[in-house]
Amino acid sequence: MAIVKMKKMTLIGLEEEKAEVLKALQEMGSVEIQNIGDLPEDELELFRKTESSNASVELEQKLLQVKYTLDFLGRYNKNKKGMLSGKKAVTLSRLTQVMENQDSLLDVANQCRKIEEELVASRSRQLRLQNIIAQMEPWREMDIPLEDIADTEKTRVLIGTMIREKMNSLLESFDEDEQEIFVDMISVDKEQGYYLVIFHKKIENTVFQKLKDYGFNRVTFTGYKGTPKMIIDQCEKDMKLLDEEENRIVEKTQKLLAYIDELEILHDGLSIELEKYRTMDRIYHTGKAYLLQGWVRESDQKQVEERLMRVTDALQLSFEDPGEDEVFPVALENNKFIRPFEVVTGLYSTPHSRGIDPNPYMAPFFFMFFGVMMGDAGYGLIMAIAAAFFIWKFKPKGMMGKMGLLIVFVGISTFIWGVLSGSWFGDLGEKVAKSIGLKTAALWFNPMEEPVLMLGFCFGLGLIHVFAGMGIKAYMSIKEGKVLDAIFDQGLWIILVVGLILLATPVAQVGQILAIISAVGLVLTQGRHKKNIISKLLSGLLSLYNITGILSDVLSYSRLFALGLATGVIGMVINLLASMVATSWFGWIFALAIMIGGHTFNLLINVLGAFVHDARLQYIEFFGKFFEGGGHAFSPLTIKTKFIELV
Amino acid sequence: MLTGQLLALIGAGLAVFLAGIGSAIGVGIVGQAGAGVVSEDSDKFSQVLVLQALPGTQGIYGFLIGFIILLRLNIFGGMVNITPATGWLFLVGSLPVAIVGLISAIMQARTAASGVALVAKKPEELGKAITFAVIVETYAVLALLASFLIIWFIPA
Repeated sequence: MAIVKMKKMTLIGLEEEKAEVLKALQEMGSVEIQNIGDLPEDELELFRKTESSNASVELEQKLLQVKYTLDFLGRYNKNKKGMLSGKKAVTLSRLTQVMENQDSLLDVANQCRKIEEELVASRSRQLRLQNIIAQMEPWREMDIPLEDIADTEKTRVLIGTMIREKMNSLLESFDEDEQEIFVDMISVDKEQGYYLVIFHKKIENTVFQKLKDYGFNRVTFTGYKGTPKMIIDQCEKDMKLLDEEENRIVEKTQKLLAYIDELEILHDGLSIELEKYRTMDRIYHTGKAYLLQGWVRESDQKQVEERLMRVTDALQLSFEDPGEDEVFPVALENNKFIRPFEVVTGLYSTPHSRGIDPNPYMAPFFFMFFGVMMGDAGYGLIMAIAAAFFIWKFKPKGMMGKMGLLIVFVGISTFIWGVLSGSWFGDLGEKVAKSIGLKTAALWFNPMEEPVLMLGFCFGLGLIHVFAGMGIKAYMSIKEGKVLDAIFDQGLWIILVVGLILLATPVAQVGQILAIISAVGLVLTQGRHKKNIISKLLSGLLSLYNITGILSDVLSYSRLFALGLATGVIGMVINLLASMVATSWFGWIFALAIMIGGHTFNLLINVLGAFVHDARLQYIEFFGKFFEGGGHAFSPLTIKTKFIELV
Repeated sequence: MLTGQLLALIGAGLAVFLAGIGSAIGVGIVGQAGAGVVSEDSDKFSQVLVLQALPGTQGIYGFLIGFIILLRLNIFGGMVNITPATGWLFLVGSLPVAIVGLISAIMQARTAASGVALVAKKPEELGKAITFAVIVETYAVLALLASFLIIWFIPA
């Protein structure tokens, strides 16, 4: 089994040396410190839980400030680093220096906040000016200062908006000779007119009534001086000034950009500290001494012991095996070929600590299925080379590193299957092979030409996969001493399926015997947990129905063929399109663009498809047979950084 | 005039556009859900993108069957003549991927959109969110296969 054996570590030491011990543990990165839940009563009286320290709250706040500053400056930083550029190497002394200098860096955060406040203020002023301009715009042509729009001794003066046709009918309703009302249309938009209306006070009652009836909206401007045009001009001038001001404010950030480097180092320094302090909150203490429990790989035990002894000898350190039912953190250990495939299982669930690590069994199937689903030698080469280049160039660690290597592997598998099935960038290889007089580019067979053979091949692979899953379950049962369970629940089923398949072969006789024996066996044994004889037999009989489950599991592998088909046919379409435009030298350039763009698209979409469908086959059809998940992944106290790498 | 070719071309069209509509609606649904999540946390973009791409495959399957019908009709090198009866066979052959593609893409999109919500709360559960959605896709894959086998083996 590839689940690493863990030892439970208990450590009692002096409070005053706690920080130093934790620092050593963090640098080693091989101990997971756990919450202590089940101390014996008498010990609990002695030790008490550490109160959440102010230090960790304070650190958290500082970290937030640094994050904010980096985010803020990032918006104005024109020469950003690419997403994939690696972490920068930083020495410990440099880190310490930056940490000591943190006050001046946190001051940068304050400066950024001030700059942002200024920006917000300037923007809201701009918004106000824009509003004023929008309001004034329709009145631009009115040559009267707004403060002068007021009633005179004999007349009323007002401005407002109204639907145009309505104004016309309103005017018609007045006697033309009287001339006691004057209306000037200042401007007009889609349906509304903007009007200046002057009329004699002696008819004001009729006019007001009519204006109301025809839907006149009176507009009043208070607090403005000058004609609308003057106001607009003034606003536009102010806007320009504000624009310049904004540029000046943004300019200020450019000086601060120089601090980004140090801020990033500070960010990681603070994160490391915070991690340590958070862990401290999980430790019990008496005031003078502390108690810490954690998990460590059996193989690391010696190293941890030696390292801690170097820090101090005032320690009480003990290691013990986990108890019979104790759940411990799960670390996986596999050789370098299997390790990348841990990503696939990791996406699903961490194995249970008492379970089995499925990776060594899953890996070969994942490898093979991916190749069949992708199934193109050209694409496989590109995947493997691109991923290998990525690893060489950026040296990614952790999840990204595993993922890169996984793509190299499945790229190789894709290449192999592509060569066997004669698929090179869709049907390009096939065309080349035919043009030089070969019958086919396929070393084995072309699935497009022999779909039934291909389907049978996929079902065969599926059957092996399903049997392997059942086999692992049987193996687990046998290890637990339940040999009969293994024979009844897995062995008989396998025999039954094999027997049924043999029925279709020349040795049908053998198949018949196997099928009948195993079916009878299943009827007799599958109800063995029931109480009385009738329900034993009944549930035994019903269990035969589960054969449909195995059948549908196997049919599910037809996706191997279907997805391979998708890659191949789309590749073919791209080649066809390219060949259709490649009629002149100009067409050839166009064709090349189609080929590159099209095949890139096909590659990407099918890598995604192959990955998720391959993973699904593992999760549902394979893991469903034996896998017990829900474990807790081993996460030791360690130095986690985002921007830097300590050297 | 319903000639065999016309019927077969209607079949090709159905496969492309019904499955295509399904995928277009599907990626739209998941994209909307995804944009909401990304507005909160832009680091989740790649995870959400994977989920959004999932209901996109039905459209590809439909296109694939449409293209194979065109190949069988030899439309790129002067169309072959087929009888109306054969034309009907092509039309029927396109139906599995057309209909199942349309519906499964939309259902898968709903599952994936819920998956987006799951990832928003628990980013580490991406694998499970994908698995839920991929289980829906199984039926689109089976329909693709059914359509392919029918169309490939129609004697023309």
